[in-house]
Amino acid sequence: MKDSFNPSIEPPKKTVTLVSSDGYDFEVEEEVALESQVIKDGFEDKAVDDREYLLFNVHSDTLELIIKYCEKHVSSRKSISAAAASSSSSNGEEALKEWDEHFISVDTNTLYDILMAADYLNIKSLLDLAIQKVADTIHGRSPEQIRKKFNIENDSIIDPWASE
Amino acid sequence: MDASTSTPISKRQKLLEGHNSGASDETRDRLSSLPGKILHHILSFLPTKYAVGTSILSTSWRYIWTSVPILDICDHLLFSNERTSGDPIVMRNFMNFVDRVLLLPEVDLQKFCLTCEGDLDASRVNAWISTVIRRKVRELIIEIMLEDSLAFPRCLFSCESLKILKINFSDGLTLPTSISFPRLKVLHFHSIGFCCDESVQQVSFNCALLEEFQMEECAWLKIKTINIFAPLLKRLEINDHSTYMVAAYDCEMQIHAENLISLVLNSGLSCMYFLHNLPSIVNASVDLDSPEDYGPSVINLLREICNVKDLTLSRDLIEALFRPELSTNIPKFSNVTRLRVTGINPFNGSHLISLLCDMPDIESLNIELQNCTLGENFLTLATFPQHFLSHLKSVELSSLYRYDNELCIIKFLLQNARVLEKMTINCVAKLSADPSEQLEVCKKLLTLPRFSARSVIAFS
Repeated sequence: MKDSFNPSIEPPKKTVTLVSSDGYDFEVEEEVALESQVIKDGFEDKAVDDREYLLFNVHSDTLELIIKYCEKHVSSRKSISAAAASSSSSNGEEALKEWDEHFISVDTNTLYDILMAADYLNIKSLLDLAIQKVADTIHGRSPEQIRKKFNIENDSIIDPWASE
Repeated sequence: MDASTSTPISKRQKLLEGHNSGASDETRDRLSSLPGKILHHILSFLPTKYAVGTSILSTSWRYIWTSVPILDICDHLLFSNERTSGDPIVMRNFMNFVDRVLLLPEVDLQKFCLTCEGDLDASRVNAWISTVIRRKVRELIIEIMLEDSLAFPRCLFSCESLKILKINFSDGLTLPTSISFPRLKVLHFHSIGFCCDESVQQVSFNCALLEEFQMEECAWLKIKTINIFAPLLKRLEINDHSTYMVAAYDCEMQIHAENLISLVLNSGLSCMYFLHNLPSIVNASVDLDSPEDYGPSVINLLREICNVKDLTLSRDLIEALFRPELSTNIPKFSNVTRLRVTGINPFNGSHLISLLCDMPDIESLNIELQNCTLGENFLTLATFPQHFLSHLKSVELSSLYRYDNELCIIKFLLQNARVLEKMTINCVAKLSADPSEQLEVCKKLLTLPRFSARSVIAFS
């Protein structure tokens, strides 16, 4: 790998600008933005100096969280592979999992926002994390509890499974 | 930490005014209005019981689960608090549930996972398997119990959609003579007694893309020859130590996997294994229950893996190699950098040292001390090749008591390992419970002469 882990001797990193739906600019390192498959796919087609992405579906509040997630994952991946290269023991994977767990412990609305943004930007690991969180909330709950938790209105007149 | 974690945010003027950031969303049902694709994704993360359960949430939820490409059906979850799964009524309900779930719309299936501890009706199991194969299932996991042995539908054994297949049931399974899984990458068999057509007594597996093959506690009944052709196989693991099924000793397994990297072969000899041409193998772990029964073919087996870097051998196997009729043909494991010796049966340490003589690059050694003997005179009498232990950096020794023969091995290694960095010694529970005794042993260890001045002894 050409990556050096000493920030002082690193060349200045390339950055890209992500613009949220409400018009805020977020300047992030290129490798962080490339966590999004959509940005990655579009990257090759873009002109060299056009480094701005308009994200029409992502609000600045959500984008800030998404960037935080991507930065954490990029830096953790580096330290995990560095630990593996020097064959020193590392609990990096474990720590990252814990971090993820903490990251996704948000209120339901934020969870939906993250979910939709992860889907839109195609960040698979984040999408799975958010989906797992929703699935965990459904798992083991009775229909009534689920309705209450997610504000689902029961509009069925006859319960189709009631006779069983 | 290497990278900065702060977000460089430069906020410029807001382009859009009046964006509603969703304060009024508190009471909205946002879950139901998520796109169908995402709802399917959510339900696919749930056991089928709960996915089906969402059908009564509201009218819009009624059929969402039927398009979920993953079915994960487990009897424990379905009937956890009611009756035991052996109850015939429970089993009937369970089978009816599976029938109904599989009746619904024919979306292609990513995964079908069936776990059941009660006795299932073999013909219905077969019908389910035929259905999921027709629905182009990519991952099939079956953990079931059956009253009788089973012959899965033929279509399973030539299935073109399967990428992952895991079967676990404590009974017999009849195989067709020729099995072909053109897209399969992962294959696990657990606790199966394989049978086949008695007039042929031969089975062959053709798995062009297979990368991982695991066989746990399987036996081959009335089968003489098993041929496995898996040119891309990377990991092969066979554990049949404690298989309770009667083994056919005259059975042979011929394994053709020229890209194999990692091999685990822990066998109670339910059959004889023959490996063919493994130029890329890196890790191998071999333990045979009664290696002497293998006769000279044990040498051929080991010769195929002699290029490994990481090697684990059992004491019994090493002892068997050094019997007079074989000892002149022992292959040289000259690329080994890590060696681990398993087992606690009586073991002659000089055999280990003979092996080490042909391992010029060895860096790491791991062995139990219990029952391991090395004569005191061996230290002074024997001569060693020049490169002997010249790269050994790390030694891990476990189950130290304080027998002289154990100390003798420690002494030998300390005297001969020129660049030793660390020796880790773990003592048996009896000794670690006695601090004064432990101190005594510790003192003794520290007075032993060492070749490598910078070596550290870690003692616990």
